[in-house]
Amino acid sequence: MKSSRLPAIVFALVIVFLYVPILFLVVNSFNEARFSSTWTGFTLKWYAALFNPQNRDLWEATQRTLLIAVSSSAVSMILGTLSACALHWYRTKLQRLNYGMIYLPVIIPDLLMGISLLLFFVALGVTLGTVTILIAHITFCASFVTVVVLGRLQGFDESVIAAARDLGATRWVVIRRVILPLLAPGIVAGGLLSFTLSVDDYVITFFVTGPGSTTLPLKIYSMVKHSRELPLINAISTIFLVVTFLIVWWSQNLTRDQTVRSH
Amino acid sequence: MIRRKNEAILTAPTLLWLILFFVVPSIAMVVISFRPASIYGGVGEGWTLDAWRALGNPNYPVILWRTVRLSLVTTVICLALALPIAFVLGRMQGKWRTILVMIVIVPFWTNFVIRVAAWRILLHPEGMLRQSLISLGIIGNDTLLLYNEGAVLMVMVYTYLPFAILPLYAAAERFDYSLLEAARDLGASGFTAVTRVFIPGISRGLLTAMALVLIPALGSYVIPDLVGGPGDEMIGNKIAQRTLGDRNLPQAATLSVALLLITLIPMIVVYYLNRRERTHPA
Amino acid sequence: MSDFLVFENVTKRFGDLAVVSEISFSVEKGEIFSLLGPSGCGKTTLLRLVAGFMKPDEGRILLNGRDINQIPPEKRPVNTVFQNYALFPHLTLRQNIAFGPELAKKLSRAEIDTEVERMLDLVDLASHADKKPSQISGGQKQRVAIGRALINKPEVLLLDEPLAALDLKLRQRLLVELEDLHEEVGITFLYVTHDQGEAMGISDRIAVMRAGKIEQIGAPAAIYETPVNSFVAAFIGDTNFLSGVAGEELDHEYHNAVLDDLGILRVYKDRPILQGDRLTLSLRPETIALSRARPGTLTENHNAARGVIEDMIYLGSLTRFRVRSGARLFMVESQHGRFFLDDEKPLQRGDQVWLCWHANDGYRLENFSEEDRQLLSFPGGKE
Repeated sequence: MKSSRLPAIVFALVIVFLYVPILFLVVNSFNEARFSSTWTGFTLKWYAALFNPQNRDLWEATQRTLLIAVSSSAVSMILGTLSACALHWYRTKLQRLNYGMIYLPVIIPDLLMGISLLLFFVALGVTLGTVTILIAHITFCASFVTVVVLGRLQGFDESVIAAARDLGATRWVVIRRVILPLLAPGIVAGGLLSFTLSVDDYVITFFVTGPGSTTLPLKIYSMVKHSRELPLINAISTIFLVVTFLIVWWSQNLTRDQTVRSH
Repeated sequence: MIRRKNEAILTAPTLLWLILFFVVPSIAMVVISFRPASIYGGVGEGWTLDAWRALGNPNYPVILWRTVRLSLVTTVICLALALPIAFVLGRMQGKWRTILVMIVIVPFWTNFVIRVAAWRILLHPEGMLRQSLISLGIIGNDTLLLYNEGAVLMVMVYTYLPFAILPLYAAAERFDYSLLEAARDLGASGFTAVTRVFIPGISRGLLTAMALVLIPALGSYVIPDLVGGPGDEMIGNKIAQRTLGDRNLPQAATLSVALLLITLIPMIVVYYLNRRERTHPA
Repeated sequence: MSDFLVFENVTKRFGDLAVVSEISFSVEKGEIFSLLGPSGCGKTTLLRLVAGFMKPDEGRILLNGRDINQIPPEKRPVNTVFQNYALFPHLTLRQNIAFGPELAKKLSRAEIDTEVERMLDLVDLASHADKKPSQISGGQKQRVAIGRALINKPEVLLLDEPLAALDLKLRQRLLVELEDLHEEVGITFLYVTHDQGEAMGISDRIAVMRAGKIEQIGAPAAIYETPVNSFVAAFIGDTNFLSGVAGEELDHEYHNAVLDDLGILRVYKDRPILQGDRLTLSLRPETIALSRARPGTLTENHNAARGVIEDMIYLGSLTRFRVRSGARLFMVESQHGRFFLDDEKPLQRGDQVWLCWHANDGYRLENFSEEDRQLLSFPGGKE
């Protein structure tokens, strides 16, 4: 059975390929050497350097990034939940249009969304800044929340609604006490996805940002581009990685919980 | 429970938001591509085909072709790597499967810019990898690992590989592996069983994977910008330069419309094939 | 207090199709009334009309003398046990059961808690009260669903195929539990099922439905022993259809009939018939006796025919034979003491046998339709 070993070998090599750069980065964030060509000893000085007053702009960018991520996921959670319910419960021409409208922003290259929003804002004479970034992020996050909540709705046992009505619940009570609690894991998972996508986004933000509205990915990008303070980037990235892993781990627990419940 | 009014309340907020901030900007993009550029970096009055004519400038067709070629090669490599992985994952059971899927997904969740930056640092001329390769005599003193097409391709594959693995894995998970035993029983070799039974069995996942890699790859900008050289620019770089470098917005709009038209091709192909498969199930 | 739940000319259409058409009947207070029929016969629709999830296009439904058509489901004094239980997956069993009383707001928190504890005891789930539905078995879910409905003290408990998702043994056990529970609470049960065994076992009365209409209403024994037509006879249990032409009257109880392929036989006359009319009898397989020799003790009210055993299936508690008599096949079921240990050699395939039955066991159907044979375990009664 030669054929059954080849896929496993490819798999193993791909895992190495996937992790080498990340591990390299993490290891080097503790490297004494300024250039990552040699290992000269363990240090935490790059992490300490992040707290230098001269790096205050990094923290400002972080704050802005988090503010944008939290607000855009909050808005997208509402928009996405509403549209997922519309798509799930209605089979009309309007929903067919809605469906295409929701999926297009997910499919087209983010570059196109960025440039078209920039042209739109320029044409309207809107000042670019945190608000335009927020609008752009909500625009792509709402679609992702819709997709996640829609997936949760597909495993939804409709008879539960009838059961609640049967036991004396009005429509509003059904929404509040049955539908929302049942969708909650999906909505939260969608929100977490939005949060990570928003924090992750470079391309769209790059187009719609204005002077003084730098986000963390923009900041990191310019540091990388100009090969400035590479060890600092290693340190930031490592912190970034740890935080993302924690969020992913949490959201995975949520989705696991939801699969257990649906059985 | 079903009422038109409720449908409107549920549909309107998101739909109106997307019309205002997605559809209208896309139309604006098309309109602006027919406008002249103003000297102040804005959009001028009147109508012109200047920006469209400028696409004939020998520079652009070369870059357009490079964009398509690099994206197609990336897609082929991603699918070739993802197929065996999906095959292995789909056949696994229980805890190990979940763990391995997580291992594949986790890098995908790390920040995109950081992932590309990691490669840039790893392949950096002063970096450990190049220095050790030189001291081992594998590459010469004048060979660069960065700023070439190979680096761009590798990082593109690195970035888009999860987009190929996930849909293929989802399809393989639903594939009935006993069909392979049936094929072997009927005289197919292991390889034939995979090409004649497994691959047709996950064809829909294959299509999705293709679209999910090809479409964002066509819009690449960060990767050629950070790990490519001046000769590896893709259309995304040109759009960014026209937008924020020399500030010719109509030209940026024209290039974007061209990119949009190119990405529509795989979308339409996938849509058509998917529909055909639904009407003539295999 | 009879006529507690009354259906008056109730019709429900989906598009052009009448799923329930002009149905009228009434359920008495405190009885277990079953709606029995194949899938698509309209029985679940009828139940949902009572629950209020649908409104009839024509006719009315009266509960305790009150027209309930305009009352929304949450206000109706009825509760449903759903086929797939429809438990709230995000709530514990205790919270599931407390759902109704909490919304009703008639009781204080303490009273609700007491009621919930009492209900948990009644359905024997007190030790699992704080589990989620995903953590308990199908049979336990079923009991939560019943408890959740009963705690609201509904005037009618609607049960929509409540046992269909369970395996056979559990189904039989829960059927007994349901009956005990009914005795304890004394609430009217409207029970929908497609399983005739379930309906026969639990019901005071059964309505057999087909294609949106009721074919027959009666006690289980009445329906089994005196089915009005070939559909009811074939849907409830197995039977043999014997068709023929009525012959001369013998006395006020019996007359002769020329049955197709069987010749002249004696038929019980429970209601008048004219000589020369077509008739069809339903003859249950367990009423036919098989023997190697012609039994010497036959009275004149017994019929006998010769046949050959073509097939036999040993089912443990009984054996099912397919016996060919001339051009027709009989289905015969016979119980036996010890199949291998009895003195007499057991019957085998190919054996020549006598088929005997008492004329009273052949019940004359009011209507016969050839296609109803398809409902039988082996429809090849005639070839």
